[in-house]
Amino acid sequence: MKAYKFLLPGGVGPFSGHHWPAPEGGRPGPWVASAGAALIRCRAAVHACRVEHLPWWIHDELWEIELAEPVRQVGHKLIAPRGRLVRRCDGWDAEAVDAFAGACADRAADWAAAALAAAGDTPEAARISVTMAADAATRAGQGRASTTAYIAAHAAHRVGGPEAMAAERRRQAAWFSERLGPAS
Amino acid sequence: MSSAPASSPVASEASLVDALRLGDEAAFSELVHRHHAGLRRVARAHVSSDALAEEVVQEAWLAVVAGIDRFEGRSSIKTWLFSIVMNIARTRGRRERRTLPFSALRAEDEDASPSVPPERFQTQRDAWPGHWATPPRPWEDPERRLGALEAREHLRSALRKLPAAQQTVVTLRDVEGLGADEVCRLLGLSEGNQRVLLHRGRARLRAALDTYMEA
Amino acid sequence: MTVREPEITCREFVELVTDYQEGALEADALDLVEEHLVLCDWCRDYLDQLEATVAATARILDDPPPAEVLERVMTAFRTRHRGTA
Repeated sequence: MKAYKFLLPGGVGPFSGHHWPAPEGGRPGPWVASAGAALIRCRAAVHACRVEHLPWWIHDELWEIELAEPVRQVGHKLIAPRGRLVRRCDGWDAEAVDAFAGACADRAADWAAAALAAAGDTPEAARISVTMAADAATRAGQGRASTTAYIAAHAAHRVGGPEAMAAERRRQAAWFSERLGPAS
Repeated sequence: MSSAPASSPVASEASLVDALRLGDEAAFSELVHRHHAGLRRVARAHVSSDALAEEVVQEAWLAVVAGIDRFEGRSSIKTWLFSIVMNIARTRGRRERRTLPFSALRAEDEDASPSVPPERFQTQRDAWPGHWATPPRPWEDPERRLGALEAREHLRSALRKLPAAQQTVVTLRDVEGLGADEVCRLLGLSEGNQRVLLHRGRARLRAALDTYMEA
Repeated sequence: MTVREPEITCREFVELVTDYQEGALEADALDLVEEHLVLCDWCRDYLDQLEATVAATARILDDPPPAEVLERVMTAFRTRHRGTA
């Protein structure tokens, strides 16, 4: 099954610390079974995610990964007994990080504006929405894409409730799938 | 003699036992130096004074001297040492009417104070309730700075100040490197209870080191 | 009806951290903890500090045994093995 996986620079698993072997010569990398960790007791599983859950897992490198069956979904994660890296998604680079985070921060600012408009003569009522927008701008400036995405989702929730929050997350996921090309 | 490769833990444990049985004083002296303080810390959790804890551990070493021939290697030497100390300490503790079965020690721990003071986190009036209000300050160059003598003194003193049950679990798990299962068996604790004590002890030690790193 | 996604806060994370390190979390809870660590660099700092604390505890410099205790214990050892060395 095709899925996606974020890794730290150098192809390192963010939780396992495992060095994932890269694909070579256009062929997928070797199969990896349990990515055992020094810190966490070895779990006999490989973790990845669907494209719609990418915003929750953002790290430096984005990879397309092939998962061996049986694949189980737990929360926003896919769990499989083995996986192999298929190709690096080059579109996810420093520029893309900034663009993504910036877009999230912009939407958080829009929600703050909506909150202020709704607050009318009592701008204090919009205080938290404004704080969230400021936090989003700060984090976007730091290139913290995952944090900015989280803030944007909560900024949406604050004004527009759970539906708005879900819609924000769908927008974030769409941002990725639009750029991952027809293969996604 | 074990047939495991010379550098494996099984081989070195087996050769240590052999050395002790053959009367190798250097091996025994090293064992005493390595574990005495840890054993004393655990004994101290069960008796009412430092002096008594010292006596308990001395008694334990004498028991080791007498009993090494009978050690069957079903547990590690470390686990064996600690179980001897626990038995003697419990007996002593009962004799001086300071009954501190481990369940009572755990009861003393039932203050359930959070790992981090609540005021460090945002409230419902803030933008991010439950998230850090005052985040932890990153430690600069921790491996080098925590290796300094002063840091290690600070940590040792903080460990000594932990409530008895937490001190025992942290000593066994993090100082002595015993596994969770071993420690649960030694102390008669469930996995969950052992983990709670480990959690609280580690949280306090981190806080103590945080104070040190800030100074 | 859309329900808000579950998540944990930093305050919850600092109480779950040992369960996390010990591999004692169920899959659902583990997922939430990992998601939190992705978005929260402050909790990652806290986790790093705990790891550094455990590493430092392993290297703790303990007091040597008191001289008279060591003496008694070594004497007993020597006496026990007299004639076997």
